[in-house]
Amino acid sequence: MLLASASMAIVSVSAPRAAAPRFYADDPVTVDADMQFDASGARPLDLSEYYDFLENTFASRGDRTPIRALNVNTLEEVPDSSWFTNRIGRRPMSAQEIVRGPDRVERLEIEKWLIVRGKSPGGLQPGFLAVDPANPSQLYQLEVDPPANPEMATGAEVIGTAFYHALGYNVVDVYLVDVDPKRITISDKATIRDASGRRRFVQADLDAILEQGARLRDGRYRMSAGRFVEGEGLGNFKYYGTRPDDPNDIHPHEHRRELRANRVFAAWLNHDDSRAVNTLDMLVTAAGRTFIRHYMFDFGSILGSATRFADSPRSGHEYLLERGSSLAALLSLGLHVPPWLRRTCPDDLPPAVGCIDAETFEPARWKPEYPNAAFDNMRPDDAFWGARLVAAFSDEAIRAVVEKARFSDRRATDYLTDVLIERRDRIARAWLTAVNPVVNPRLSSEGTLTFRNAAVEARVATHPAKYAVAWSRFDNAAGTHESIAGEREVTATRAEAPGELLSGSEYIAATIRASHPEHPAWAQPVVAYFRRSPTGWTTVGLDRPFDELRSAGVLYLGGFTPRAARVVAGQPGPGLHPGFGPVRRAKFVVAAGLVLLARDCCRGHCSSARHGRHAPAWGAAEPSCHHDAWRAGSRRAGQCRPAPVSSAGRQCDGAVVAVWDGPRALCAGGLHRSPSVELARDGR
Amino acid sequence: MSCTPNTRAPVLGLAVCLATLASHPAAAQQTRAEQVQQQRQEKTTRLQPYTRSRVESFLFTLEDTLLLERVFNPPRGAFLRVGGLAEGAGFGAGPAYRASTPERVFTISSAISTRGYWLAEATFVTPRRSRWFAELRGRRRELPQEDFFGLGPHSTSNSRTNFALRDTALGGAAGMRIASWMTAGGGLEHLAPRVGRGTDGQFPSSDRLFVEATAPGLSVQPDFLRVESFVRIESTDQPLNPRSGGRYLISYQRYDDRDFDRYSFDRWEIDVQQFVPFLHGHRMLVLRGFLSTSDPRATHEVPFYLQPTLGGAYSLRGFRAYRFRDRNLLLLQAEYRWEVNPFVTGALFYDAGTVAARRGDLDVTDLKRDYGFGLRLGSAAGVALRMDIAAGSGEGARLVVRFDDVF
Repeated sequence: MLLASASMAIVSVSAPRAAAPRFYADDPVTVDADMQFDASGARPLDLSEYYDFLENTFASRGDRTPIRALNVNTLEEVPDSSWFTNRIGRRPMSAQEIVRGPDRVERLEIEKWLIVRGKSPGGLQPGFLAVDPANPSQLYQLEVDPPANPEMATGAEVIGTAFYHALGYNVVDVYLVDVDPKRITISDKATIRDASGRRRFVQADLDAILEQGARLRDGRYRMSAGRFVEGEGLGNFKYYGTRPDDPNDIHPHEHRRELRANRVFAAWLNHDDSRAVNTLDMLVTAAGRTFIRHYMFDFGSILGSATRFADSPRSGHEYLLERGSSLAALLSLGLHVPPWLRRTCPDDLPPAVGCIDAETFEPARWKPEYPNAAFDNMRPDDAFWGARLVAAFSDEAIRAVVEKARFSDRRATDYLTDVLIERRDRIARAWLTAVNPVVNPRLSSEGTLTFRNAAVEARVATHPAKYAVAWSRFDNAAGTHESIAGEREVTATRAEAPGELLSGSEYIAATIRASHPEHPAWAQPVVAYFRRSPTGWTTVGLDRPFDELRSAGVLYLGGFTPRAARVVAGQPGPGLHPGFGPVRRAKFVVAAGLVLLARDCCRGHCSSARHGRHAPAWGAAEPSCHHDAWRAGSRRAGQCRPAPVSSAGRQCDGAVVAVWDGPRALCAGGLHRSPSVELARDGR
Repeated sequence: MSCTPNTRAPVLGLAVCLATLASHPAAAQQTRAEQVQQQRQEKTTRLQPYTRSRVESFLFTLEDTLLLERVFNPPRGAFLRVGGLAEGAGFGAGPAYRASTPERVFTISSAISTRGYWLAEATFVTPRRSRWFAELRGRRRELPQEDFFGLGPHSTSNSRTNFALRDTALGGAAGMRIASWMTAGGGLEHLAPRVGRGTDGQFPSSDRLFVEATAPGLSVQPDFLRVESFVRIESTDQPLNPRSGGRYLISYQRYDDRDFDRYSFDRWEIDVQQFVPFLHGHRMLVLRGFLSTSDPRATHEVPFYLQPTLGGAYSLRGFRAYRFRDRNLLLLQAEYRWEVNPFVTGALFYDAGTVAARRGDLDVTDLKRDYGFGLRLGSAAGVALRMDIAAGSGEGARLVVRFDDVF
């Protein structure tokens, strides 16, 4: 069972619990010093595109254990590292700053270009490598737009670069340039590699590239000029495992939050080409250290662009290869028409838009061209973190970034801006409401607790009717809670800590849950930990347990038996495997039901001693005793991750709820009485 | 336990090293950072380069070196020519060599097949990227087992014979790209075909069942001077695996008998292919009409070995290759194609056609027909493998496997 409660104690290091306190003196860590050890021995790791596709499509690479991301700190945040630098997630960014992104200059003004090399074979976008003769040490990769879709790929490139930079990733700075072919010269030493080997780059090669590019009316060509960043290219990183030659790379990539949550960002921008071969590792030396910096790379096929042509309507809706839909199409002789095939790509808009919309965008169902372990491992807490970053982009900032693409037709700018705003809002609605959205808890020295509600702030949910706050004294060495004064209800995002708790406590925990009729997932408590400091209280920890089924919109209903399994409407949510097709879902319903039935549910066997290190000081919720049963169910089902079913009471009736998502059965869950049923009823 | 500090920052590295050594399990870590650093310290002892699996290595080499293109169709150097002999030749391959500059390409190639067909060919094309183009070519080939069932639409399958065809062609062509979608050109070629006894022992040689009257050109074969002109229009969205648009070709060829004044004729051909997409091109209706008419000069004949044929992988798929032949030919094909996924396309097809000695005898009410189901593997860049099962011809079901599309 994907029981976030059980993973609350999982931190980035799996040290023996008994020997390690829950919080260290330096928690929460805001910087992961993953540049300390010498990585100069690393060698280039260029991946095969074919292999990357095949292994991610047909093999289940990486660790699929549904654990919390390993590189988050105790506040559930991602520390700055060679992978990620918190930008819009940590501080407000002006639209101007977002638009500027990684760019070193506002506008790249290079009059003459000197071609020094052809592009490596394999890239889709025609182009070449060139320098400014006045500054020959700085290399740029110039690429053209397809003739049928002028401004599309280059526009996507600069938009994606700006957004990904603001989100926090390392990206290569890319500029839009209008290049006059007459001002392009070819170096005597310029070469190009083709199937017969390397040879001189000649005028005919340039002609062939320009022939495949969109030409402006004045005879020039609009191109994207990507600056070659400093360092030595080391190829790509994978979305699973670690680089075996990098001492600093210790967190399996499938368990890195910024890679898991990249699914959210990729969904927003329709970056269906987000895959290992579009990443970049650079060996850099900075401040006397040689380490690997990890980049996201190549955004020419985001939004409605497929680089050389407009995106297929499949983009974002289905993997390139899906067994179920392929069989359906084959056996039905094409009469089976998936919903995405009925999409209408806007044909009354400039071709620079390509094919993208917001109407058919369902964040939780969005898919890249093929799966990867990090995306598959994304849990609701990862998605929540990502959605907060997406929601942080204002309408004005989005428009400003789209304007950076300098589309010649205003309609393209307007349309893409509207689409990205709507997609942002859909992401916020889907993922900010799927878990308890309490964020930024603070405890003043006087004992006043304040917090914020990310979903409400993003204007995708109304204020909850009430919050319930329970207080406990936390023993950092033992990891146990001592409940103080029970649970108190408040209607605002502030509460007072009991006086007796403040005196004599080194650590305090506040358990906050919310009651909202439309968001039963908010009943899952968020636990905030505070440590006494000379100036008051410092927030040192935040646990955001979640019930995956509930996060997926499942409502638990009481009174059902396996024989009378009830179909309940629910919406798909993050964490449910996107490839979890109807047939598998149906199998899972049966398998999970059988498992639960066989175990006769838990019948009061829940105990903190057995199920984790978190004695439920807050009383209302505790780790589910169904954890093991769901694990078994998961193994049988193969795909659906175990999802927790929080049980407030100790009585389980062994009933099974089948969950139906419109025409698609989603999953199955154990059924519990008392508070969870109450919540379900609230939810209805 | 070893310590490998960042050698490019010795002081800092030493500090890190000391810190991590101090945080060895023997002494519990005091900070989160120490814990993590210890993990990294431990990893320094087991660093190793990334090693690709055999499959990954193979695929990487395939991509990085453009190996398939290098082996089968490189811009320069030696390569392997595969196929391109004639339908029914069996698997054929042979050595080839190409020398090229950005403006000119010279290719010499050869191939021999499992059924004893062989070919040697040389072409010189220049310039490559200009509005004008020119090509010189020379070819010598031997096709020892060409099927011949007799002329006309009523030939029977049990009248199958075979003959050997050797021909030598030397000529050239030139043309102009009038627009990106239109090309016009013409060519001149000296053609020297020779017919001999077929080598397929399972069936009689054509000269045993047919005579000059029933197979014109069987007894003697002249050299020909062939003049051709054509206009080609192509409006497809992508050249090798189109989803929309059309291809239209009209060509005129004049075969001039240089030896006997018996076999000169004129030929007009019209080929219309239309790709009608729906559901964004993921479903398609593909239509083709092909008409070939040959008009011999007065008292002349069209040699049977130069007559257009029906049957085989590219026309009537339910019939053997070369099943029907005559001076005039009409072929109508329709395919419904649906995308199973980006790599597999399904097809339902229907072929119909006929041949006739006179154009007016092309009877559209009495067409030879077949239908079937097919799968095509490939991508937008082209069809890599085609498997069609055709039936309804009355001559048994046939499996067609090819490495290209039907049209």
